[in-house]
Amino acid sequence: MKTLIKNGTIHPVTSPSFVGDILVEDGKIVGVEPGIQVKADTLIEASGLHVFPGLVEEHCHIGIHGEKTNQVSDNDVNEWSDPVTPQLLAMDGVKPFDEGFRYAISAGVTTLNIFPGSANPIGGFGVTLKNDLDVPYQERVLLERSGMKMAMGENPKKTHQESKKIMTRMGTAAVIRKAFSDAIAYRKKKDEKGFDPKNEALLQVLDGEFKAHVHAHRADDMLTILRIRDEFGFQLSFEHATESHLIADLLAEKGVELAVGPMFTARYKIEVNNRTLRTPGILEKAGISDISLITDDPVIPILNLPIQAGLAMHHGLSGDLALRAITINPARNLGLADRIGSIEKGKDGDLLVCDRDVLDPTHRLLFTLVNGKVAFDSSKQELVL
Amino acid sequence: MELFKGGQVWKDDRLQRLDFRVENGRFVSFGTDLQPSGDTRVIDLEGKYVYPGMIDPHTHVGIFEEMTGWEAGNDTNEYSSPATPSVRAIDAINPLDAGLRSARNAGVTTVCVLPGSSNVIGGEGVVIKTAGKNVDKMVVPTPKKLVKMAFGRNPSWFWQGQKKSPFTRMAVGALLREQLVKAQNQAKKPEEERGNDLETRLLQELLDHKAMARIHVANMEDIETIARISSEFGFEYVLDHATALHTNPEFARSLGVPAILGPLNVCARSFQTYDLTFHSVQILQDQGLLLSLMTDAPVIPLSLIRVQPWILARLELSEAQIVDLLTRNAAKILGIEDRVGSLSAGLDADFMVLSSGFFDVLSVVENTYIQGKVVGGEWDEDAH
Repeated sequence: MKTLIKNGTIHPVTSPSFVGDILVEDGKIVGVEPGIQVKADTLIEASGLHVFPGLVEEHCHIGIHGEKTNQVSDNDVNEWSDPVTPQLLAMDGVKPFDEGFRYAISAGVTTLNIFPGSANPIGGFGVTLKNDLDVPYQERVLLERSGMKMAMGENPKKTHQESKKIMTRMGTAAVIRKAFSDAIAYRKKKDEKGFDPKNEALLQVLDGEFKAHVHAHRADDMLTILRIRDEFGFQLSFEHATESHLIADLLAEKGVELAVGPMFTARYKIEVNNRTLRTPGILEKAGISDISLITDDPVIPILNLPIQAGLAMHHGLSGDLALRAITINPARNLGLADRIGSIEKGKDGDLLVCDRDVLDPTHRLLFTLVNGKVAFDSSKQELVL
Repeated sequence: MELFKGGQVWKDDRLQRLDFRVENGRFVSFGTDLQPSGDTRVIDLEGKYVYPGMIDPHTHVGIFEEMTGWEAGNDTNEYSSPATPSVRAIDAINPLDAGLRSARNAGVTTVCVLPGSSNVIGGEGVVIKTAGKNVDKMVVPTPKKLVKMAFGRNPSWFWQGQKKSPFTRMAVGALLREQLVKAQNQAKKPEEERGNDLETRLLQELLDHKAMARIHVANMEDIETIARISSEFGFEYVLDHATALHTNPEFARSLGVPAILGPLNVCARSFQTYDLTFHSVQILQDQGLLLSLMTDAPVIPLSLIRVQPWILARLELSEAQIVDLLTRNAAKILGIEDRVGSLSAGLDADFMVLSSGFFDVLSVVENTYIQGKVVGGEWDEDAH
């Protein structure tokens, strides 16, 4: 099965843009150069058009927070029964046929990482899916456990106040410290106590097998989790980080990854009062390049992934980093940079063909390819908008 | 008197190189190569782009305040009863709301502020300019008062939770009929017997065509109920949100009422918004309806008002059709097109100066003008 894209302006992300061809064979990119001569099963003539790698959403709740219903019957995003639920797998809560996946295809998003919600200080493992709607769910899974979702700030406090398990930010921090301390104690007496899925999951985080992805809007919440990280030692990606521009220099020094957004919300919660589209640009100027941008769909529709990057550019982010922040950076954050996030030989055939720059919100998407297969063709389907 | 020279000015559905004069807060004249007289201040707009100040005909800014957490600044819904026709949005507007500041920084110069959608009759809305410290001075009078109503899931879901009627759509319709009959009966009484008729006055004005209904509605069954009740009692209305209206284009045309669509750039997270799509704008435009577009701010903050138009540009709509949604059409629906909504002599000098075209994601709102005065722009720290 060969797919050939001819004469497009190719934006590989990891190397300079050029006009040329891309050959995809059996799902993988096998050629990226001008003048490829081969008889392909599918030919896309792309002269005058722009070709980008499929976009990568590092943080959303598509499939686990039912699109179009918002009822208990279809909402599996937060397991409110307990503030500490590291044993949960988002994979077990995802509805593979949710409408949201179709919206994601129309948005050019070919890989999605789906996290549990932010009600619990320790919420469970995310799942990363290739957005290939033609194959069974199990075959879409790229990472069964993408990373441990954790949460600071207003959400866990609000959720667990009623049951009096957490009343303050101090309480949230204490719950996290206790969970990790318990896991360390468990390791020492593992043979006596038998297998405990909660502690096993936490040990995987402490052992560096999985990263902690911590929901934190406010700078003080970020500082608290940095303190806890320094005490226990684990890898860290900040999720949301809408106040990260206030401590940009410190974050640059600490060298953590940041998944910033969504920045299209109103300032409705106190913890997002300082959210601004200027954040990514300020971080870049402070020397931070490990920035991904996220929509948190259904907080804002996934359609906005490239639009948000475009507006971050409007507010000071470089065009290069704006594009990286929705392709190679989230791929790297998820540990998948060898497979997705750029147009390179050997990588998955996840490609977009647009009539102009994908960061221009007026662009029209003409084709989406997932694993080399045409998943969206504007000449045959109407864009789901 | 000011003379703005050299800009690309959005007039008559296109950008043209035009100069314009402003005096006492109004546009005086447009033309090519206008020359200053004696004490005229000249503002150089060479390389800049000028568009009318944007109008959002359906928001809750000022009454659902940003940056105050969930409750402190929230006066959107008067939850004490499902019919609160005597409450007025103007009584709750905080002119210092951060949402208003970021609105004017983004080029929004006029907004309609409506009570929320928990009540079948929510109260009276008001149109204001986005700059000022005294709300009474910000008001743009509308020829007809605006009566906010709500149909469908929002009122029935909320009051069900309170264990109070209306539990169902049937009761929503019944409540509105009941209130309208009460107003009719009150109107029939001789003047001296009326006494305090605050509770029915607004609805009397509605039946008298001195007010129009602004109706929150999503689903088709609710749109049909509104049409039925309107034909029973005879009142003017606008469909707000109108999420499912495009699913029956012929019916939409037969209704012939204006619709204010949106917010479209949100996740369709309930059955009420099941049919939400950007395509609705094009489908209803093709049916000749008078259309506008809302952010429902702060649902979508007004600082991001241009994102929906940008996405609409992916469809088969002209730039003029899209710009009209947020300017001239919004003014027409509100009945204030002789005051705002286009760059025309005699109208308020409300406009925005952009660094490039409206549809360019990188175009910066360099200055927003209301009545000829700079009130904001992206130079302000609260512009994002």
